[in-house]
Amino acid sequence: MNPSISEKVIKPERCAVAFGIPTSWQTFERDNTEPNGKNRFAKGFGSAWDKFGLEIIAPFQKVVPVVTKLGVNVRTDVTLAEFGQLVSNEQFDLVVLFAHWGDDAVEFHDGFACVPDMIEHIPVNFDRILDLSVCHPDSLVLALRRDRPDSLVRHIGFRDEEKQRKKVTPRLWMFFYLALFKHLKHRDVTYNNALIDVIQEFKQITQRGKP
Amino acid sequence: MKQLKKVVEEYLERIGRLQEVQLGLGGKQSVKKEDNILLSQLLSKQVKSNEYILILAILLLCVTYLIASFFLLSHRDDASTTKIVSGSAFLLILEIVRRLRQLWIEKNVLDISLIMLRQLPPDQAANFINVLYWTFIRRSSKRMEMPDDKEIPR
Repeated sequence: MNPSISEKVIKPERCAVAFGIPTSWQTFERDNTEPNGKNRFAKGFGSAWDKFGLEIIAPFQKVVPVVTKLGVNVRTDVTLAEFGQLVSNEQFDLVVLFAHWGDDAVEFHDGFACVPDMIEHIPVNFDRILDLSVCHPDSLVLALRRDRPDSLVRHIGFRDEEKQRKKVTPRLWMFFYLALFKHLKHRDVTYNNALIDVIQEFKQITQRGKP
Repeated sequence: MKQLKKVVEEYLERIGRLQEVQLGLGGKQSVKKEDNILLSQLLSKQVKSNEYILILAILLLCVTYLIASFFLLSHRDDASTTKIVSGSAFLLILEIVRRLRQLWIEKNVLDISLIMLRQLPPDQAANFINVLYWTFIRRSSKRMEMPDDKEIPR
């Protein structure tokens, strides 16, 4: 890993968020009714469209305008190729990938991409930050550490069968990133420090809310 | 509707359909026939209790009407009493009719749910109950608490 990226001050204008999950009714309908798409994120909602609206569209519509105003580049319905373009673009110090993990593959707008395909689309000399807002992409993280050693990869943590699996709830994480980008905007901090600060803040809020 | 909402939420929680969808961690768990049988039993109990409430509400309606009529006839020359009795009776009858309407809607939801639970295979019945909850039960219950439900964008 390139030591300089972990020490660099990150600003929202040099960040991109790529949504592989559907964030519109149109894409949701397409994915939900796809005959061969049984592992698609949209299928998890069944025919309960209101649930999708509540858990994805409503927070998305609240968060994205604010995050965009902070200067973050938000892309929706991202394909694997578009993801590759984002990570190849040196304009971005940080790329956040908001995607669904299933069958050892990451779901993009154009289908599932297995780990080798993902690695192929990330430049060999990629030395910036890749934040994986994906549920336990263990094999992808290991492959990135092995094949793209200069990158800084943040992920939810490896799956531990003994402990409860850490969950990636889209709604919660969207608001987390909102807080994170606001923090990056107003403070001159590195990405790791920003994460620590925001997580601490969330923990304190949770503690305050407990009886 | 609150009690129905609670029963359906417990059922959906048991079959893993109430929790927020995660960005991974496998597909939906399949529904056991026992879960649907239990829900049917709980809903059938609610149908019975709703019937009693319905009878009570109708009786109350009739009693209100009779009492109001008695007071109006016996004090028909007293304008202020007439106004008070008419106004109160009107408001009370309105409230009873509102509750009756809610009961009638809930009765229809319960009847349809029971039919689906009995006729459809477990997974399909669960899908039906899931959709019913998210598109109707949850919103109807909220509407009773808050008049505006702008949470879900269209």
